[in-house]
Amino acid sequence: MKNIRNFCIIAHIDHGKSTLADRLLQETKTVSERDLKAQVLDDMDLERERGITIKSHAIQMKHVHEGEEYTLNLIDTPGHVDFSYEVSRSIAACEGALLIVDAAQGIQAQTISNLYLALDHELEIIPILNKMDLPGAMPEEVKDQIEELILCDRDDIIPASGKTGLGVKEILKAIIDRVPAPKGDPKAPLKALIFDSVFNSFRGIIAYFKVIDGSIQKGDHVKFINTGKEYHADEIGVLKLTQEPKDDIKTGNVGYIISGIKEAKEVKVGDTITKVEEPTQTAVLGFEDVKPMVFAGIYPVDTEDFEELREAMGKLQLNDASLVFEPESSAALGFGFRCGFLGMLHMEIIQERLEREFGMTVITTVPNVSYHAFNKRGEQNIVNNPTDLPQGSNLDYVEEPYINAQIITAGDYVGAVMGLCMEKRGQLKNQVYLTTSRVELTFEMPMAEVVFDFYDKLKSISRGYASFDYHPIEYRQSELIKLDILLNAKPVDALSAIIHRDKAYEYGKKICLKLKELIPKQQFEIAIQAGIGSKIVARETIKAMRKDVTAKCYGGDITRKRKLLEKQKKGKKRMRQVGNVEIPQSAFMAVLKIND
Amino acid sequence: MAGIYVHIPFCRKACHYCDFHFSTSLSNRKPMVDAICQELRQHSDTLTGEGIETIYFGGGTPSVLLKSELIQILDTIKDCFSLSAEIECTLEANPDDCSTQNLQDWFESGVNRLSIGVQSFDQRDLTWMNRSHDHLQATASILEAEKVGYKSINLDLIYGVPTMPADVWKSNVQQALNLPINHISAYSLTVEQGTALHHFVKTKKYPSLDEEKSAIEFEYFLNEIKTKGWEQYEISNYCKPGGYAQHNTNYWKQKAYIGVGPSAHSYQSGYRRWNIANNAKYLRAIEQGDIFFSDEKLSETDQINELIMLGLRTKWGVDTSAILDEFNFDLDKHVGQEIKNYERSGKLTQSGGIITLTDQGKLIADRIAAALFTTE
Repeated sequence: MKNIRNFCIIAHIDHGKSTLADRLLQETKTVSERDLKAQVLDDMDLERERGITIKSHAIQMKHVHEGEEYTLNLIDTPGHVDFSYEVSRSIAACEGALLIVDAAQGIQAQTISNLYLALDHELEIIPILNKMDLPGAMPEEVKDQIEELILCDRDDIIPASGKTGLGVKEILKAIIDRVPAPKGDPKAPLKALIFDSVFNSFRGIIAYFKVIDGSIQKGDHVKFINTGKEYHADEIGVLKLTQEPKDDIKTGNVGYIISGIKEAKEVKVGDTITKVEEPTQTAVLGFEDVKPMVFAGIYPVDTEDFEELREAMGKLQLNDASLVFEPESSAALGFGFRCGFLGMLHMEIIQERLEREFGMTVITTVPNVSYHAFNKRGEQNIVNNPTDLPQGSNLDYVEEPYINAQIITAGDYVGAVMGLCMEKRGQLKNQVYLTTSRVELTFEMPMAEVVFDFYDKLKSISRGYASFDYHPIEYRQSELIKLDILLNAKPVDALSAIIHRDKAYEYGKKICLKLKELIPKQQFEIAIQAGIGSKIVARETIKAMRKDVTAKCYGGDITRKRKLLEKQKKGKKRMRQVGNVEIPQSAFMAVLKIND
Repeated sequence: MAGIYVHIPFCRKACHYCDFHFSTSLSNRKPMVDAICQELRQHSDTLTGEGIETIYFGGGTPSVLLKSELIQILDTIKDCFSLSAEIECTLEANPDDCSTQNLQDWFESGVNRLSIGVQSFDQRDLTWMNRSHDHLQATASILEAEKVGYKSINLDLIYGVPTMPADVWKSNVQQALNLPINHISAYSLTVEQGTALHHFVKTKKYPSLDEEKSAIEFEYFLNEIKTKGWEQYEISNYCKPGGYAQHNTNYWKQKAYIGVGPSAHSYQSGYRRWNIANNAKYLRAIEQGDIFFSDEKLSETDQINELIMLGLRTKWGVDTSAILDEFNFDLDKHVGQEIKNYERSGKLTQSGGIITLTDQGKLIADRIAAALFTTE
């Protein structure tokens, strides 16, 4: 156990975590030059394209240092705020962390929040100044930032470059010298922390764990404490570039277990594995059931494809337990699902995976958060779909989730960032100068306000010099109303939204304008209205189609024209009808494009 | 019954709105005429048994041809095909080419119908469109053509021009109706991809089209022309009694035709082919004996849809019983509801198995055609 080092990497997206990780694998000969595809740790296409690690992984390296062989377990962490719980579990499995900071960009909010998580777990932090090869590197300034943040010795910061290989040997040495060995009790009953799981279509769910106390043997009869389920450890092993089966995994080490589990939801990150015969008395602290934060309707483009969509969603859930869904129906869109996601990125990923892995193009409705509606008797109703918001005397008040948002930006942009957060109903809670030019702002704001375009706006007003991180804090009562959109006086359920009363007018006006752009002219005039209850707050009109006829149709025009009309007919078939109005799919996503 | 279309891909000037195939360099005219004649000879056995009833010189601007070139093409046609005695032979001409000499030359060569590209009698419009003629030539060319002896004259007009004041359109219509012509093709201005007009509208140099203005001008025209005893027999084509353009009517009735020259289309019993729309490549391919066209076999569904699309545009309508006889396809069974809906809203009428559009329906002919298409 004294020769085991468990560590993770804390870094902001694009700060070079994956490239540097590859260098470590190369240096320890875990992976040969020939096998080294760029960024080995990100093995999903999608991850590589987005340049971030969506699902965390773990990999074991062997390294000889001063004549002794060490086992180094690198536990990779996802780098996006949507996955912060998974990050916290990965951190809980480690004794040390590499803090990677881009020498050109400095500390970002995401880095800070994960860094504090690591400090809370008393991890040994090894600060690394990466991308030293870049011409824009500002090592001294960024060192100041790091020094102030973790109160470390300036000389302990390792200059490195994933690109040139600078600092890789020093990093390995620091891991061995500075990260403490795990401190478990080998004689105690088995207690292992599940920090991640992956889905394998042949083997089922593979859970990754760290043994905190005791050890696990192949064939053990084990129990997952939080789900209460029992399994046989069909195969256990360590994670090299591929899985390497072992007969046992001892205290302090990291491994995987395969036990014929078919569904991702049976394996909960943060759960504790113990033995049925000799169980541990205490589960690992900090287990949480991950709750979806953002909800949206997902509907098949062709109504006949509902069953196919159900099947695809089910398969996705097998390897993504954080995806939840239940059937719902909409007058406008037919049958579909109300889905819960960890955040907007997660939602986009699901949408893309449906398209890539299952060839399913879907209509996604306006995303919303989960609201709590209370009636006069004080009973609470959870509202994940705006159309479910009770009306009239059945509604006393509504609560919405609030977040604590941390934004780090350059001093020049403080005014603009504050303006944006205020506009999003944020309340400034704290303002700290990290260095003379970098400011950390802390706001409390409604989650609903950051759901769609907040991050994009933040980036644009700060010209990219702002980073953002958030944690949900609590539910608070707000003046929320349901805004309906009506087409020729018929409400379109899929376009309803729950928003703050003060914003209803402006929002209604914008969405009516956008819909006017997206809905094609029809044979009759179309009134687009936004209303709260029976009160109309905005209106636009689409004039009736006056003319739709080709001027010239001679010998050379006929085939082309026929094909054009056939395409039109197909497009029309895919439109949805509300009352007598035909609505193209793009209109259902109008809200997302409201500021274009 | 069959027709021959000859595409003359040369123009003196590029009109801003035009997306037909042409070149403004006339230097290859001679080799082009030779190549067209060669292509005609290749076709000589394709229309066996069918007499040629119409010949149409389109473009481009066929009026740039020399008399000798026109005769060369017509002689080749006579050599290769059997022509009907009552042949209609149309030449598209620009007013600035219509000198007395030219008009006589064409007439003597066998041209008996002229289609004159007037577009407008207002100089501002002509400049806006980048036409090569002026407003005086527009009227003069037609009066001169009558003198030479042409009995059948069409003139083209364009409406829906955003910069054209409403009274100019009215005046254009009146001037046209006072001329010795028996046919008018009146086109709603269309912004086609790849034209100068498209670019100007996109860059906001020109205003975009106004659907309402175009509809009002169409309605005005329709009303005027009917009170003068004219007939609308296709969406954009109008004539005095009996003055139908036979050649174009054949297109709308899915009759066979051969198209020669760059970009020309041919159609015969469900088979359509179109020549490459590039003068140099066409010339080279003809010279070297290479393939110079693409083609397509229309499925029965394609053919039915074309009959619907074209039929709705004409006064002869869609003959549902003919479709049932030929394709064993019952239109009423497939889109009966759509037909009824449009009938109820006054957009079409049905009588004796023939569906025709009303004046209101003609304004949205494309939409109705798409609705009646079969997708099987």
